[in-house]
Amino acid sequence: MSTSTVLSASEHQAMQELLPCLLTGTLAADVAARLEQHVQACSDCRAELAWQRTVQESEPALPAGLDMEGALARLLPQLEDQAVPARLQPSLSPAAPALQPGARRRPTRLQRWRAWLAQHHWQRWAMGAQFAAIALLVLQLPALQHGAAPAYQALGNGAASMPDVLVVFKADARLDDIQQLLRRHAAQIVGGPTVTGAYMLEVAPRQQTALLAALQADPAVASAAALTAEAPVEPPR
Amino acid sequence: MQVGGRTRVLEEQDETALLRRVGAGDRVAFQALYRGYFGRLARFLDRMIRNVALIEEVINDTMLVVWQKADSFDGSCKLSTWIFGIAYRQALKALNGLDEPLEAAQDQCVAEGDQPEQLLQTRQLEDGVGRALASLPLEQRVVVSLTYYHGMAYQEIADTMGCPLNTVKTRMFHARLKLKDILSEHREEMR
Repeated sequence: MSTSTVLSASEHQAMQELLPCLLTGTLAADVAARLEQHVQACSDCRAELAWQRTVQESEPALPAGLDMEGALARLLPQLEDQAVPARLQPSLSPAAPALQPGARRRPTRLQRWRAWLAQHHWQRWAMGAQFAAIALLVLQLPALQHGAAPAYQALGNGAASMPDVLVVFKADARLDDIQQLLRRHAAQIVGGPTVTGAYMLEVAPRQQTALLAALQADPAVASAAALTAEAPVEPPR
Repeated sequence: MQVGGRTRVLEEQDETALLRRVGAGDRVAFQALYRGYFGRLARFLDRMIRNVALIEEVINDTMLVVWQKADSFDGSCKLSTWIFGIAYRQALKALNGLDEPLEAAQDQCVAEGDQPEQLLQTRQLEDGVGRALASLPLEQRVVVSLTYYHGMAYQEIADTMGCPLNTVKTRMFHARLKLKDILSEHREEMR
């Protein structure tokens, strides 16, 4: 194929538009050959190509603090929840239209918590914790009035659905230390991190106060707050 | 953790084989795919979201969709185009859900005296390109990033962003003009 090096303005413009693709090697071989031939003869395009190459080679560095393994560790438990329904659906309803990439099923309660956290500030968390504490006290009132614990503890449902403690670890906190701390108090991470870096913890009954004190005293912890009142100790029968 | 250092870019065939295993519920394959894409997605998303925590969150949302929908990938486009398309939509969703716009990350302080002149110049140029990119409209920034830093063809970018091919060309054209204008102060380093 012969190529004239004398091009009209519009042809030259079209060639220039293809320069990024020449740089990244995404042009068909014949088009790339024609363009390279033009670049050899055109000083404007040579200069443009050199400028674009410099931009390409000057990709800004990634921000510090990305933690691939940490992020993966947070994602893996979610796969458990998602795997069964997602993989059963096609066999149950083969005629159903394929979900678009990015489409979501109805989020779980935990996911809704996380979305809420991502969009709200610490002050609203504090309000939420206060509200939860007030609700717990109101629900405990009848039991206190009658001087005995009720046979049916409606509080159990509430406590199960709400994380007990909200904690923010320092950036230099070591995974080992955090794991030991959580194990010692039979606590587990049930959500997070939020955009503010907070994790939600659930803790074994009657361990919340001890966990909270340990967290607040731990140098790896930036802040820790209770979200629920600790479950009362059952009186001896 | 050094993201760039530990992330191995997977070959396309490897990726497709991994995705097939992911579709069968293979968590080990999923982890390999995740590690193969984390660095690439982080570099891409950093052009859209200047917030480390949110970048990780969007990557996880993206890879969760990959886990859920691995079966539905039909090979009509490259796997990377499919995954980047998911990441792009998840990032837009995250940006739309924010109460207030994210502040651009503060440039890290560089102890100029500690660096050889050439390294310093390279760093300054990278910072200059970063600032110039940040000043572009989001769509133009994404097109530039996918072209130069992820080696995508215009048609792949159109598929990723869900827009016509000509829109990609137009965005690239305007982005180049603006970048050239903004980067004119770095003319000497760019020679």
